[in-house]
Amino acid sequence: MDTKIILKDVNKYYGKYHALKEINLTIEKGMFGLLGRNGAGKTTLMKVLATLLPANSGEIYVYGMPITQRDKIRSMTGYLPQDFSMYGNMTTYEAMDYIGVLSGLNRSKRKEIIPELLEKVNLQNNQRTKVKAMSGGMRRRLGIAQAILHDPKVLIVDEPTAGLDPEERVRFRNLLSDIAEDRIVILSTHIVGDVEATCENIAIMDMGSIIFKGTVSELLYMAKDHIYSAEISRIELEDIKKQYMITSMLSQGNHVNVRFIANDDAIEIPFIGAIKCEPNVEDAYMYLMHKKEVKDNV
Amino acid sequence: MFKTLFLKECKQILKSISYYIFVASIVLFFVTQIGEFDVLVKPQVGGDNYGFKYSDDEDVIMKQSLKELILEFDRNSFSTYPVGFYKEVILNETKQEEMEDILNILTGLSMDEINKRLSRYYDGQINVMTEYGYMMVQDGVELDIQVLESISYDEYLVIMDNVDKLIGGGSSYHPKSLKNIARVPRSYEEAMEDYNSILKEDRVSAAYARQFSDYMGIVLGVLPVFLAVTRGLRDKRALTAETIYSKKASSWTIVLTRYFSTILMILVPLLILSISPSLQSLYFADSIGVKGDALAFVKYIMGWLLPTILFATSIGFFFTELTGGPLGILVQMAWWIVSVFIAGGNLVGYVGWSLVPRFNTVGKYSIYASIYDELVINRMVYSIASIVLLVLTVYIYSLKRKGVLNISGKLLPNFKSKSKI
Repeated sequence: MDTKIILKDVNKYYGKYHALKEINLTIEKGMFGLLGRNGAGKTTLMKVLATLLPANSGEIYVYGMPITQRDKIRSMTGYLPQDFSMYGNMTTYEAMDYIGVLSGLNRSKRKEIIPELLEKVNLQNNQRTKVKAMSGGMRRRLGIAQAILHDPKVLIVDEPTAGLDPEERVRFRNLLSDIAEDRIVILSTHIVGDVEATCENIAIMDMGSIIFKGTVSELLYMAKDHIYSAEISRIELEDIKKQYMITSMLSQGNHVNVRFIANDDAIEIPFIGAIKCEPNVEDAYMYLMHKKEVKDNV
Repeated sequence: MFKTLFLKECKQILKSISYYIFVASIVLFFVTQIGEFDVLVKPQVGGDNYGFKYSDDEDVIMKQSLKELILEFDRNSFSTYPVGFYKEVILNETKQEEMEDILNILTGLSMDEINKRLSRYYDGQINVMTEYGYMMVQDGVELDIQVLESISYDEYLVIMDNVDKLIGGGSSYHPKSLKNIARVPRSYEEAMEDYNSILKEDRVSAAYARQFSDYMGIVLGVLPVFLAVTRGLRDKRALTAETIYSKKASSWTIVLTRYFSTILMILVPLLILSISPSLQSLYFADSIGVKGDALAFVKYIMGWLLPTILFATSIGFFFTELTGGPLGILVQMAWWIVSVFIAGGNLVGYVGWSLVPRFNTVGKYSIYASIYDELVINRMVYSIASIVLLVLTVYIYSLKRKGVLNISGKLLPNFKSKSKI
């Protein structure tokens, strides 16, 4: 049985606006990260995969099933939208039970699986907590639980960590990694750290196009030899910012440790004190976006 | 899945504040409008008053409406219902002169003569204590002004149509409303005939059920739309729409369970409210030796009121799904206002295309029998319209699930601002 999601030449328009441009992707089991800045087209692609938006052209197959067979696709897909919530006056259990009915689960199955899932997302002690009383992190965990309630083969998660505190974010990533052991989990995010921590395979979107697809290692390799670090004084910082794209910086008293992207044509060390360093995913992502911007400007 | 989801929707409604406001509203309306049980009294020979009826006699219609016109003109205060609401019209000098000309044509009398006869009429009134307090009642002297014999009834209708236009429309003088002015006292025989029909045809309880339907129809012609709109907007407000769209359940299941749970939760308090008048009417029937129809109220609720409830609810569901906003309330309010006030003064036996048929009395079976076919057609048309709207609602919902209509419910298909991509 085909256990992939395959997208071939997928296009999506909103009126004249070309939101998805010739998307070609193959997504296999495990965590798949879809990275891109806000407005890149990630949510549109997620909604197309969740059958909530139709593509204008192209083909999509989910586990061998054409996406036009919405009912079957919905049976095998779980979706956590970007701004997930449930009716405020429902308790955690009631919300899960309601979604369970909509997912076609019978009473005994719901009784069996809901407590298990709530335990999995660490909401076992909040079964009677009203949705309106939940924190953002609790709601996202409830969102994940409802999305996998019918044991889908594909889980689509749109910007799940936005707005979460660092602790909740780490907990959430770990949860997604657990879930991805036996299914496809597509994680859309603009937070590089989410992808770095959880995904082996990734795609990067910009302006509706896929500008990179491959493994994290391949992304890192692309940025190899282009990332430098240096300890500079605060006075020098403005000049460095004008000349190079800073990927990160850390203030230490009067000094600042910066990581930056060297110009493509640089063959030597950019300036004295700068040291070539191994790129991390954030550096590589920034390098890729920077490269595309330069190319687009040309 | 349908049954379980239906029950869950009912439970959701039970948790909603808007539902309790709805229940409180219909209870309040019931208590204030229907109130205590109005016991039927058998007409007695030699009684003072056997009630009124509307006359078909053209001479009576002309006489009564002319009298009403002269009295209103003398006060320069005309009661009208131009768009359903009561409005007092006061004529300016020019229009008063035009009205004087019309009265002159109708009666052949000058204004001086009309005023003299009016004075004699007013002099014949005495102040008496009635059950409503002190009132001026006529003590024998009638207004001695008639329509000229040379004016036919058809000509009279044309002139009254002009009177209605001069006043601004919506008055009792419109040819279609004219009959409602011609109220004449009933005879003992007529009163007995009505009384007997209540016993035989209505088995007492049906007569009360009709009055119950009349009153409750007014409030049920508009309140269900609020529940429907609230349900429709709940997904949007709670940010659950996309989550539910992505589930396996069909659009039919989702929309129909919401719709029918709303209908059931409207019917339940209505049926409970009907228990008291139903039992009272059955007890009363028993006391006069008639076996009342125990299911009369249920039959009238299902046959008379349910189409009203279905329609108001369908309008709410349809427009909320179509627009993603509360437009349905405005549409239903407009429909309701027209329906309630289109009857004008005809509160017993008005049907037409009104969403709220009127029968504001206990008894008058002959009138009910005469409007029965019209009423059945009216109720069927509203039921069918409700079903059509419901099917359209499911269709729109399924389009939104596919993303063919904008997910946030805007009318423009496939349009979305860049910032939301």
